[in-house]
Amino acid sequence: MDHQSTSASQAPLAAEFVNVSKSFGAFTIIDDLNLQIRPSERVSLIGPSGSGKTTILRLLMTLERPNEGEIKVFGDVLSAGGEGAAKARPDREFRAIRGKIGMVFQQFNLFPHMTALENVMEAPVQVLGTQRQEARDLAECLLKRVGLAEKGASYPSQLSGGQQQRVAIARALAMKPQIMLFDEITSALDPEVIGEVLEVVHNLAHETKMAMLVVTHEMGFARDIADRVIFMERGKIVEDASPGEIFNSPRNDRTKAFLNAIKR
Amino acid sequence: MNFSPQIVAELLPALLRGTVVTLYATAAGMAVALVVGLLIAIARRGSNPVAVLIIDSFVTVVRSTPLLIQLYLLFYVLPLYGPSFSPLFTGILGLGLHYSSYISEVFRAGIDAVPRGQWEACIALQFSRVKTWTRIVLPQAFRIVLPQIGNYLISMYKHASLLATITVVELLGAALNFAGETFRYFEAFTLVGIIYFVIGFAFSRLVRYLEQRTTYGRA
Repeated sequence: MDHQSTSASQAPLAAEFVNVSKSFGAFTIIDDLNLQIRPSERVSLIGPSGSGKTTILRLLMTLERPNEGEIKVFGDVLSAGGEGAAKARPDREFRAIRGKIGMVFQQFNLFPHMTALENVMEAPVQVLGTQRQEARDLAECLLKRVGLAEKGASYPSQLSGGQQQRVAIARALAMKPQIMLFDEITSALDPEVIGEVLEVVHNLAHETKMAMLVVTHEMGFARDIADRVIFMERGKIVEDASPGEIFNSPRNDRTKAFLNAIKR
Repeated sequence: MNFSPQIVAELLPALLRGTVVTLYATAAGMAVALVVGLLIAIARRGSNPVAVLIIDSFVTVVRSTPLLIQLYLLFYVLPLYGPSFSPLFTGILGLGLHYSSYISEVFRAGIDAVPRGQWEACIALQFSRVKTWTRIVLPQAFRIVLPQIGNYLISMYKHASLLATITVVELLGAALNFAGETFRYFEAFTLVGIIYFVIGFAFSRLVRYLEQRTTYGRA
């Protein structure tokens, strides 16, 4: 098995980017990036818009494919650009690897034709083949966990943005991912409901062992949730350090400039 | 010439039988149109250029020629070179294929109207392609296109009268037969017009009702 990399003799990395590049037309959004995420690690990605933070999440979720390089999840190749792209793996095998990843979107992307409960039940029933009753119990438990036990019968259009995003978190949790991606999950929310969503994510961080990758413009959240903060600019990692270092004594001038600009 | 109640009483049973045939042809024709139209819409999104070319040609030809000519070709010409079907079956096929070319465009627009985020959520939740279509995309697309499908249903219901020209005894055909034998054109066509109106009016009310309840969670 060639995808059992040599470093896998220890605990394999949850996710690994090896010399990954991604461009849209002439515009390079990810530039020869190397990144390693350990299991259960919580990593915040910060940086100006267009720096490639969200693209990292989208590459991991396979919503985008790399032009160059290789992305591995728990030691298995998830996707690869260039010559590696040719060796496509069987669909079932691919989905087993991708199934370790879950994602929460900026725009929630709830299914509007289903109730909150059905949204959470849908993937376990349709994808994992879970029995309906079991899936319903799980969904009710997850909705309770995000503070929406009473809202199971509501349609997304009947919920506030903060409530919709919490349903979306419950929906992603229902697939029991080992790596959870949070893509600017508060950017589409009214200020007064941002807190309730962040609180849910904070609780998850305490209660679970999932690795978390968080792209956010909420600097307080980025600092509090993370073991490690990555500052990106123009598709490259500029600084990769503990939250304390990045926010209190950043080494890189561009990191300083970005954080100063945000404070203003 | 006076409107004779006695003639109406003689005429009515035949017209009602014709009405049943018209409704049956409309329902069956719409079923064909929905299935073929959906397949066209999905196939057109595919990456097989040959399939896309064939389908586009079919849609272009069907849209650029009158339904009446298509019915004649299916009924009088096709049997010379291929299979021969009953008049009613030929009519249903003609109506269905004709409308499939229009309905495929409706479906295409409906599918395009489903936000990209829905597809991405399906990927993030590990849905297969089939489940993505059947559970998430199509149920939303159907709701978006329902009013337009309803309008095509009304249109097809009226177009079904063309089946009279390929010897199907539907509503208009029944009236033509009766009038041809008795020369009571006045009663026959007045009554046919009333029946068409009553059912057509009911259909259009139904469509308007459907238009009003296409939002989720408020129905």
